[in-house]
Amino acid sequence: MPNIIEIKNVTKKYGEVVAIDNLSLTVEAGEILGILGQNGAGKTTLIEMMEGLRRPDIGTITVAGFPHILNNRDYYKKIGVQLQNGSLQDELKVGEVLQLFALFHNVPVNRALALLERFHLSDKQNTMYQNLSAGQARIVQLVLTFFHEPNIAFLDEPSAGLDPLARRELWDFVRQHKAQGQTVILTTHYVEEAEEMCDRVAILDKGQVVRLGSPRQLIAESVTPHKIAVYHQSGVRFDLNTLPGISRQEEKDAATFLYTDNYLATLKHLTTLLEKRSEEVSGLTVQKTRLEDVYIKLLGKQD
Amino acid sequence: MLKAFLYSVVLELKMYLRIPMVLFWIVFFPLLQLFLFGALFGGNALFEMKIAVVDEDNTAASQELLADLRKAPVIKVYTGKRTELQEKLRRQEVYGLVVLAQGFAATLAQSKAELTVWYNPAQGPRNDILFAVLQEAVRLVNQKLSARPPLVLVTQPIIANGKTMSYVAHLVPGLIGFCLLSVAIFSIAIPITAAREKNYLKRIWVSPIPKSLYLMSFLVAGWLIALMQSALLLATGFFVYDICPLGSWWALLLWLNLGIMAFMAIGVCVASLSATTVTANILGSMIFFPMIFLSEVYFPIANLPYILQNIVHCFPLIHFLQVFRSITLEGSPLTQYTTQMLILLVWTVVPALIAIRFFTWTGKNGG
Repeated sequence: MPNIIEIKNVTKKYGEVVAIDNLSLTVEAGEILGILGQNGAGKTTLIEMMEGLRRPDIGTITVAGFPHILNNRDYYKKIGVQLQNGSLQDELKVGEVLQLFALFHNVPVNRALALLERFHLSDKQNTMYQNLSAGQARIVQLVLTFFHEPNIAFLDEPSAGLDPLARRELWDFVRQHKAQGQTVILTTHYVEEAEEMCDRVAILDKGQVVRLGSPRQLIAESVTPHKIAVYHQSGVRFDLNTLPGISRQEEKDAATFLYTDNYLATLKHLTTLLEKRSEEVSGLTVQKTRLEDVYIKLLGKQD
Repeated sequence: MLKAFLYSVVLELKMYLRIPMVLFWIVFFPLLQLFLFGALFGGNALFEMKIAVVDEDNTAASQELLADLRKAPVIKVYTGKRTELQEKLRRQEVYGLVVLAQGFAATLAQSKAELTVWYNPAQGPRNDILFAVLQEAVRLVNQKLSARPPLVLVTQPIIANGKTMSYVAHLVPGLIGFCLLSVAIFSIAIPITAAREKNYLKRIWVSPIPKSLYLMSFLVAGWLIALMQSALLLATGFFVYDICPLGSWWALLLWLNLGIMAFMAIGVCVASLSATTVTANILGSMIFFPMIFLSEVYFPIANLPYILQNIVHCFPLIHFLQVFRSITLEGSPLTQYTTQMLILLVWTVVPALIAIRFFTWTGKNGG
């Protein structure tokens, strides 16, 4: 697939603070790219530069063949944007907002209304925006992002404020758009969301991409394939580093996590050891390692 | 427990002081009022009532009365030609005009001794003070002249263009000016800043609508509101108080639109310089309240110190009102007011240039 986004050596500073530091990145047409990172890592600055909201200090960003995207109305016709903390006019009704943006994009409002129905919010057309719940407001913004069928959709923390069911619905919706050939760029704090939805994930730290690849690739590169969790009484300590296959041991309040290359060999020795202290142990699980484990290992602490 | 209570009090105070809007209203605004009203109605100095006196009789009796008026408490006497002093009264630069007409001395000897004071009804409540002060002055004169028939104070409203002036006729243009400034601050400056603050302007920025067109929709809506408010006030004045503008309706409409343009430019300028709604509120209030108090919206500012009057004349509202009143109350042609037109034009262009330089759609560091 050809590249639809090309970011070359981009730097963006706010005064003395470097938000994006000499970053280069390409995105293929039709892929879902997730941008992960801690607060202040530069996610929103990066996505807003791609949206044509901010100008890089150094470097170039070409999107969908547009070398100049800032204040380019032709470009804005091709993209859909859901802003982080974005809000609409409180005193407008949902139907009025949809009508207004349909006129901006010169498309029939029915498309927006159909999407509203897909998210079970048809009955909110006459509701003032200020009277929507946070999750409903988020859905209305999502509708405004997609109703004009953009080539690229930028979603800045799209699932913030959504309940688990609505989040699942959002994931299905985004996947459906990808199936239609649309490109989606999203930032998120939910690593699980990125792992579930994204073809590739870029992990940002201090304005630089520190890891880039498919979730599976990142897991394979960064951590052992399995994680064994030993649940025990609070305050109990196990020294299990010497067991075969173990590459790392992590302690939490009432659990010990073992990262292993050979979970069968580790388990064999672990069960023998735990039998001797069975009264202190309350359970044991074996999990495939997740993107979240990569993220935590890489950035040092849970976001 | 007491410690916890005291610490809570300290924290509450801290919270108050950390909110700029609260600081403005509880600290700055009362001081501003003290300063403004102190300047208007006298600070340490005694209140002075400016009264014009025309001595057309020029007799010993009339001069004696003039001297007595000069000595009367509170009153400050201005003398001069009748036409000049009438103009001063019309402009509300003096509270009243006492005319000692020819034959005044002769009437004193008779039983019909009257002291006529002309007043400007447009002054509203100030006339009550005028009458009270003059009654006291007449009482003192009467005490002295106990052997003669007592002087009686007679009040007469001035007449302009064949119509008795009224306070409401003076107030309607003032309230129209109030509306234009309100629209500028409360329908333009603060809503635009709020829209930027909640990222709505960002949302508009990434839409394919021309940005200037969207901003224009804000301004056109504000312009329509200002026009409707003005029309409502003029219509109420006409139907309820029988006030009909004497000047050309076209001149009035043109002047109204020039005013709307200037105040809207100020509104957009405030929105451009304010990063948050709180800032816009403070900046807007700092513009709104002094202009409303000092631009003769409700009452004249003849009592203001000279320097402050000069400062007030740097602002657009007082010029807008002067010309608006001249058109409505006196039927003056607009061509007579090229200086005021220029002032409004400057107040349109300069804020507009500042807005062009500093306006952002996306907040700090944005486009």
